[in-house]
Amino acid sequence: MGVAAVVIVALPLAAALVSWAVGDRPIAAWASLGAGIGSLAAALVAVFAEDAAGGVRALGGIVYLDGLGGVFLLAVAFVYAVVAVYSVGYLHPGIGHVRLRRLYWPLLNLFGFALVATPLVDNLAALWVVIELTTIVSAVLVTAEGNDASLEAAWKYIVIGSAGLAVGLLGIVVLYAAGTPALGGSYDPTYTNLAGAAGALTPTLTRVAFALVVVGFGTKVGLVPMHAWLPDAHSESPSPVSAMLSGGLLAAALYAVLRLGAITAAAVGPTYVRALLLAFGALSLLLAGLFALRQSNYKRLLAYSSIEHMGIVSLGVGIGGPIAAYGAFLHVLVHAAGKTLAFFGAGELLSRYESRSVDDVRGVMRAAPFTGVMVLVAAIAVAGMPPFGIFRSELTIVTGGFASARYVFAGLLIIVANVAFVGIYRTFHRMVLSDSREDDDTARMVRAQQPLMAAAMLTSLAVLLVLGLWIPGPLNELLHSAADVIGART
Amino acid sequence: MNPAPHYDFVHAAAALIAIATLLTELALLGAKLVHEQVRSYAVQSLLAAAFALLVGVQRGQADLIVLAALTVAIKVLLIPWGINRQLTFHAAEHEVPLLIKVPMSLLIGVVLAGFAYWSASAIGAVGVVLPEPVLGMPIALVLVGLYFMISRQNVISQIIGLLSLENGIFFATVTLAPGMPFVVGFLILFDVATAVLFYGVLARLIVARMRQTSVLDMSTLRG
Amino acid sequence: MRPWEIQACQVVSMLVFAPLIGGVIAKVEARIQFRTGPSPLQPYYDIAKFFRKESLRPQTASPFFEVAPVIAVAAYCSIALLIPILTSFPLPLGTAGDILGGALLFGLAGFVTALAGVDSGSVYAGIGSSRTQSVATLVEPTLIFVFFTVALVSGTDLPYALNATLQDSASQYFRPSHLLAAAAFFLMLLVDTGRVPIESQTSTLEFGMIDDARLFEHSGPAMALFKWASSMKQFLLYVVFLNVLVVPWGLADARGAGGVLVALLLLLAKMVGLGLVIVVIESSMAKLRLFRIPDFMGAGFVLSVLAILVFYLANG
Repeated sequence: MGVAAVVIVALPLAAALVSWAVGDRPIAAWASLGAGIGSLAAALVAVFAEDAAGGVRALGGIVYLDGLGGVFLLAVAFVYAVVAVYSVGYLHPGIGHVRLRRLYWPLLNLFGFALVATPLVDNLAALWVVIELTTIVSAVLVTAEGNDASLEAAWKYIVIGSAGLAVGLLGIVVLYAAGTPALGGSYDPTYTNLAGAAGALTPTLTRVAFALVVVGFGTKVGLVPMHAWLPDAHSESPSPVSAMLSGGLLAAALYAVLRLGAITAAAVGPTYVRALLLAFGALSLLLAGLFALRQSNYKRLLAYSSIEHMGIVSLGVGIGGPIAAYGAFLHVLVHAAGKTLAFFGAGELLSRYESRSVDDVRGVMRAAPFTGVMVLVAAIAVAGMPPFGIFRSELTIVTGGFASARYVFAGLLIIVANVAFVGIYRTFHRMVLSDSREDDDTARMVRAQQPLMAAAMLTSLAVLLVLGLWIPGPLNELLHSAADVIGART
Repeated sequence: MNPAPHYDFVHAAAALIAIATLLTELALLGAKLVHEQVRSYAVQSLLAAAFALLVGVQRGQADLIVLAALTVAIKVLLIPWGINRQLTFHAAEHEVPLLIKVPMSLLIGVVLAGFAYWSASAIGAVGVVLPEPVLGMPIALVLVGLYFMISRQNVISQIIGLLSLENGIFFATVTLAPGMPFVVGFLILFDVATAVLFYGVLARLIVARMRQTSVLDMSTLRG
Repeated sequence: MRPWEIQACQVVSMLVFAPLIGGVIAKVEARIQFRTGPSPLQPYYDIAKFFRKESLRPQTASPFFEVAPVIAVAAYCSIALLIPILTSFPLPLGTAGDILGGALLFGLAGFVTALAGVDSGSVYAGIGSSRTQSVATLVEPTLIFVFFTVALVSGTDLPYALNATLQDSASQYFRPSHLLAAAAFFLMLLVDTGRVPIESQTSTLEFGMIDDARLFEHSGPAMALFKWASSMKQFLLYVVFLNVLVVPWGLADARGAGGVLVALLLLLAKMVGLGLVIVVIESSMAKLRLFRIPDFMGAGFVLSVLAILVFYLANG
């Protein structure tokens, strides 16, 4: 476990150093690709081969991995790996419009490092530091296209995101204070320490702490009403960065919320934690679902869909009960696969049509059949249709909602999922299956498919499809143990 | 007659620092010029350092004293110097356009501070030895800092708002959890410094590209 | 000394030394600005000069025009009975009015002065009156909150009792709400005594004047009384600020004549100290534009509200 953990975080860090040292040269790209895949492989080993489901501690208490961390580690490591693969293609001249080429690889790898470190650290303060690192690094990546709109988006993102994280830090400090009566004035805020003393935490302070954490880290999750930065940052950054934000960053921030939620639930009972998650989850689901209907920019549309999906995960955990929580954690994984696929597809569209507007993209199927199929499949999958994983996870959450007698929230999920399907599918249908416009520059449309970009998309698609049809035994066990960590059985 | 709590020197000094900090925050709200805002922030950071020093000496914690020294170096000297340099470098407009007039802003600030004190007493922070005026102040700093960021439409003012919000968290940490390991405080301070560096670069880019520091005109992205 | 003698001493020392404070401040300020400046006794010369001149009344003015300065001086003399100028123990009439009673007397004096200005029928005096009253409406809420705060801190609103409370207990003295109230009072003191950043005392520009504009039509003994009254107001406000709020020490504890004399000298020393602070402020700041004055008042008001908030919500 120790070795695997070191490999998981050391590879991205090493790749960041190498790519920074060599500059804008192919070796930077290949090093990053290797680090992404290697990190994912090590994550798989750490989670499955070393049986993280029961909770493993390593490296003298720096690293801690249990079911909850395992699920999120898989999600972020997967996103980092496929984004690294896709980026190699996307940075080819004439495809993506990345101007910040010198910084792109080092920052992407640092971003990956912060993301994979998030579910591994066993310390609340360290957790905050790595999440803050994701903000700093990703804010610069958002500006990689170097135009005014991307600067504006990045500014909004760091201002709102940092303010949110500051509130989250306050939450951690308050939780630390809640632990002082039991653990003494000076202790390490590790999960073990806090979870071990959960019964003795000061209840009022613990509640306040969790509320601050939900609002603070919830800002980075994109929960409504703290979501204002998210659509801008997702739509203005280069598509691989959008994918990394959506599938990785949101998940990492949500992990922080749930990790503190697990401690809070152990201290003051799960009802309080669930109530907060339900409230924010339902609000995000509802508003993002409605906003998605009126978007004319396909990347913003996907961004709202991300908010909706984070709402679904919160709702699933908030409903409580082992079935809904299982569904919620499955949703984290399939969201990572679905959103990478969708944003990769959006990147293809953007590089071919050079516009984010739905109205400018017409007749994709005719101009670039592979892209068309991928984009359409991504839309179907993200909108929650069978046979893809997102359908399965949403269905599980709804089932869990009925099992826990949360009919209103289950009903809400059903309705919003259908509304969102209409909104997303209609838009992508119009782009892909319509006739080409007369004035389109067909030479650019039919440029050869970049093989690495295709490979990344096919990988995401495969994961989506497999998880929709069959959950492997070890993964099943992992999801159950994650549900146990947040106290879904109690 | 409301009996005064019995204060020894440390408590009296802590209460005074708390109130002075609150006043710097309100001075920040009242300041129209960016360099006035920077000065308020520097004074506030100095008070933060004094507070850490006080608590450190009282509890005999060397790490807090080191933290105080670092705070002086980074937040009192380095960051204000950097921001002021940016200001002269760009000769950007120094008076910040206000959406809400100063007296109204001050009143809102006082109401927020009142809410902060009320909530602090409602939470009833347990096991804290410091006097009551200290407890609500960090929350007030956070709330007023957030309000400042919302009401000032200027990239540098927004950074200052964020920094003063962070000062609130510094106070909260020293008040509520002075035993939090030194490494944590150091990492956080380091993180803040890095963040400011990045924000500075970004602010510079924005100014250079858009020839302005106001975010009022940044309205391409909507919906 | 018998109590009523000391009480008389309070009034007399106010009458005698009030003009001196303004004179000393003007002198020091001039020295700081590398001017020779007028003699510290200049206010006395001015008052004496006005007393020798003829008193004229505009045709449009009513007899009130000449009564007003007498009422103002009488009001200030009454205040001198209520507040601890020389002794820390209450004198016979010391409990005749509380701190609000004193405030009302201040208000009365200001009101008759403004009324006399309007009565004169002169445009400049009218503007002065309207300005002082607008400023007063902004000052009053702050002063009320300040009085509430100090009353809450000490549990009484008698100036003598306030002084005693603060003198006895360092905890009360260092209470944040007390210090905030004192700071708010200091800002209002600058306003009420017509100092920078509100008003410049050396200015001769009619448009920038606030307080002095009211007196444009007065002359002779009436003018002398107003000038004197204005210095008394400054003296009394300094006494409230120093002896009640900030430096409650150094007053006579017993009835001995020597103690009273020492207390008087100490009081004058404290006032000169405060005067030096004001000189520094006057020399280092610019006068605010008339329309920025509400911002300054806002700051004072915020301080006083904060004082109450901190008192109630944080037991500060």
